[in-house]
Amino acid sequence: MTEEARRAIGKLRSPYCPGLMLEVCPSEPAVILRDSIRQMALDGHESDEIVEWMLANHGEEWRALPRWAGWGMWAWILPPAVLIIGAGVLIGVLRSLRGRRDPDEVDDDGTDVSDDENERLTAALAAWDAEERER
Amino acid sequence: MTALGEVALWIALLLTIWGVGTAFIGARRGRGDLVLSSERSLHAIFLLVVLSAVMVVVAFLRNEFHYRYVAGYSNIELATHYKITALWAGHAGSLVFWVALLAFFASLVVRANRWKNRDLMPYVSATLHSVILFFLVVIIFTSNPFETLSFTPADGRGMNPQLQNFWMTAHPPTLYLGFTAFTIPFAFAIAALLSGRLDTRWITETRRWTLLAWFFLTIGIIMGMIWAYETLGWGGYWFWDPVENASVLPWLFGTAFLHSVMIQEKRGMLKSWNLFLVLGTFLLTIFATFLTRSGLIDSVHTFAQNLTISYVFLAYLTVLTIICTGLVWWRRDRLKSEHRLESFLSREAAFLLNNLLFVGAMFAIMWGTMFPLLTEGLLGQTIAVGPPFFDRVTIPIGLVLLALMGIGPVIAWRKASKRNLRRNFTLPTVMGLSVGLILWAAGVRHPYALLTFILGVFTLTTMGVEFWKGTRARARIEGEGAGPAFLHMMSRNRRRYGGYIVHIGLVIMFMGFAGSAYDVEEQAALEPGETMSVTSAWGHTFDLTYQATSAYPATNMTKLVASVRVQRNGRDVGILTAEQRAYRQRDETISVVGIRRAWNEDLYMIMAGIEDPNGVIQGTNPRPLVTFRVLVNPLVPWIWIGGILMAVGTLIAMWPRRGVPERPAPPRTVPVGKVPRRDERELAEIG
Amino acid sequence: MTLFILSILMAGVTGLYVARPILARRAALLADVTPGEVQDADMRRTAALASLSEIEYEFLAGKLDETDYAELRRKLSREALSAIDRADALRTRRESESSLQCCEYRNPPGSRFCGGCGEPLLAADE
Repeated sequence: MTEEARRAIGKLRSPYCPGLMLEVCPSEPAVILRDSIRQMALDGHESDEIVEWMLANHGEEWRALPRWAGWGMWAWILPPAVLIIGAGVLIGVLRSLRGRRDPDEVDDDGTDVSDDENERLTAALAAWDAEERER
Repeated sequence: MTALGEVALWIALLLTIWGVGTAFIGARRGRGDLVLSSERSLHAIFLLVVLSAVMVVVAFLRNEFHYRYVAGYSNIELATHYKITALWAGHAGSLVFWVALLAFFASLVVRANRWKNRDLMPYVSATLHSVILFFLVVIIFTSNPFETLSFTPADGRGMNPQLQNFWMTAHPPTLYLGFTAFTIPFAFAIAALLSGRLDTRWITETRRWTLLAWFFLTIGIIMGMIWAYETLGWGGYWFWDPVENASVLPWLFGTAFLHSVMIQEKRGMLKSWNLFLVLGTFLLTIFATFLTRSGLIDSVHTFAQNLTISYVFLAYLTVLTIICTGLVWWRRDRLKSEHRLESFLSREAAFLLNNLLFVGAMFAIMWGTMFPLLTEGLLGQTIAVGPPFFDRVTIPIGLVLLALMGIGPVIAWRKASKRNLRRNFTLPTVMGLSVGLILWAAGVRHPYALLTFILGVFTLTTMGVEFWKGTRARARIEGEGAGPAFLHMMSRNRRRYGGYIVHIGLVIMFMGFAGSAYDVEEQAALEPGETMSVTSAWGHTFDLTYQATSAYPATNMTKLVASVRVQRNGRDVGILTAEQRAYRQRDETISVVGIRRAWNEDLYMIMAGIEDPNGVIQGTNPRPLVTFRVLVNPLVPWIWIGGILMAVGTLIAMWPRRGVPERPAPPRTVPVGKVPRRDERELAEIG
Repeated sequence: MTLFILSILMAGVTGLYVARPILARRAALLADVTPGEVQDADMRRTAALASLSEIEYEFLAGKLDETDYAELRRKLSREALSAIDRADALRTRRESESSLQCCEYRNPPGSRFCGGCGEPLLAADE
């Protein structure tokens, strides 16, 4: 199959299989349609021309990719726009989360916990560990 | 007699109203007896709806064609096991099945929470009742499987042939289990909001149920892919069909929640975001049902649609959205973050980026799915959006997520240092790039495929290193050998390492997807004895010699089986068959593909057309011309292997902990205002 | 006719099952035996301890620098200590304040009489 034909077929949905691309539609008329597209490509038509011919014959709804023009543009613009806006919001949220101070945050003065406290921690850890081990 | 099923539905409907009322009044007035009554009502509803579903099945088994539903989806000759699965072959029955599963989970929740979360349970019960109420109203008033015809047809129309196979038996129940289970986290979220008890406890409960729902939904989606691959007969497994998309939307939201919930559990941050995700996931399951059922968008799933109910679902969605938003707004004071973010370079921040991508992907897919409908509604002209659109929009997001899977686990909570990251990423980067180089040298030029492999290997390496280092650290701290240390590490941190296994499965699956860039396809019309050849992307050649086609009568259909001798590089590797099945009752023909599986590729053969099929059936044409479509799909088996790994990993992550030491618990039912009975006293003392 | 009888039977049985708690005055618990606050504090303590033991692994796995590790360890230790203190304090306070306690018996919330000694309890807790 020529590259032009492949490109044209890749831009079309099949009128003969619900939801499938013309590329993969196993139905008999789709095979014929693919053959005629191949023939057109061999005759020297460009892929866009072939696509327009097919859509003129079968209807606009078989276009697989919205055009980068008119309303069709919105299909392409919105998903990345949402991601970009989302990223902006995310950075804002991260900043605000970072700026805040915990109400009960202890200043790290570099001193270690006292031996007494350390002992309590070790005991608590051991108790927790034993509890976990049983499960 | 089967009409008893409809009576059961009506009684269940009355009980849901009772259950909502008693739960609310019980919670508000402190009346434990009303709450108990409401909880019992959920058990009763479960039994009633199961009875109703059983009655539908019985009607199918007894060929009671005076029911419109039975007549529409079955026929006398239909095999018995398909008469059972016919319960979910059409819209009305599948809704009953849906409610039965929902009521099953509801009943399970009530049982599991007899001793805990008692202050939440009245509201959980009320929420579950209200959701069941909605579905029962939809069933009884718009799509009743017990609706009768004015006459009794001699035979039914039969089941859609594409549903008559194993995967279609397994795929809907699993998917429904996932969808319905997401109602439980939703109910807990609503309960937490209503009761104002928004501390750490509800989120723990919710996380477990979400994982369970996610498990079923994941398996359900993968089974759907297998079904599409093996029965739709075009060589692919995913085609961005609206209904497929609909099942992915809640999956993406649920996945985002499973990640961000860790931040809340560890750091008390993102409370309202997590609520948004839990509520959103449920709303998306309703949205998915709406898309599946409405038939507004044409799809391969058109066997289950009904236009009138789409408005009902839309109204329900709107009401739910308003209620959820209102509740979150009402409780916003209790949803403040408890801690601050210490560094942008931390696990927390990585999870947030992951959430952004999941939500972004969800939006992109939803937008693309709804776009034709929106343009039709607003402009009067449909602007179609096909599979390539979704590919272009989601693949980049998928690739970033793939990289993030490798980066995330290595970044420390709270604060990571750049030096450590550099050290930890050296080996994975080197591995990824060298695999990329090797593939480049081998001629792989497809940019996405190449990137998938580089990032995939990168991620797999970090995973491997994680397992290795975890084992080593455990061995060092506990002084154990490598084997026991590995096992103990896994069992002590099931959530983490189960999650890693899910990631590994997903990476392998992604690589399998990437293989589709190198699918090869040939088509030829052959006479017996003629040969066609296909050259795989791996370089070897398959020669397929068409032997013969024979016709077999079977129950409900006639099979035409074409057999082909397969040679790989000139060496015989066996016989492959492809079928066409002509179903008598529906007058429909479907093709059954022949697949020869190897570890690295599938040889996939479709009988695309046959000349003079009637001649073959009658025996007058023993040498028909058959058109074969043959594909060699590299790496497809990896997709299923990845799927199995994902399921195994999820099971590990959610495996329940053994015998949690319960605190002394009193008997649940206490006679109000009386001294507890003797046996109850003893029970309490033992505890 | 059989259908009618079976329907009545089904409705009757479910109705009785569901309404029985109200008729027999049997109540479900409306709060956990361990007060919610205490459970919450316990979970926070567990989370703090888990984080503390986890950085040990993260340090050994090379995800943390020596200096970061020391700083984080100090911080997490303080957090864990305060979580432990809070949980313990809350538990003792709740137990001493609870009007449900008159002997060893752990009475469910909402009880009016003690299940252990039969004494009337002063006021419903929670």
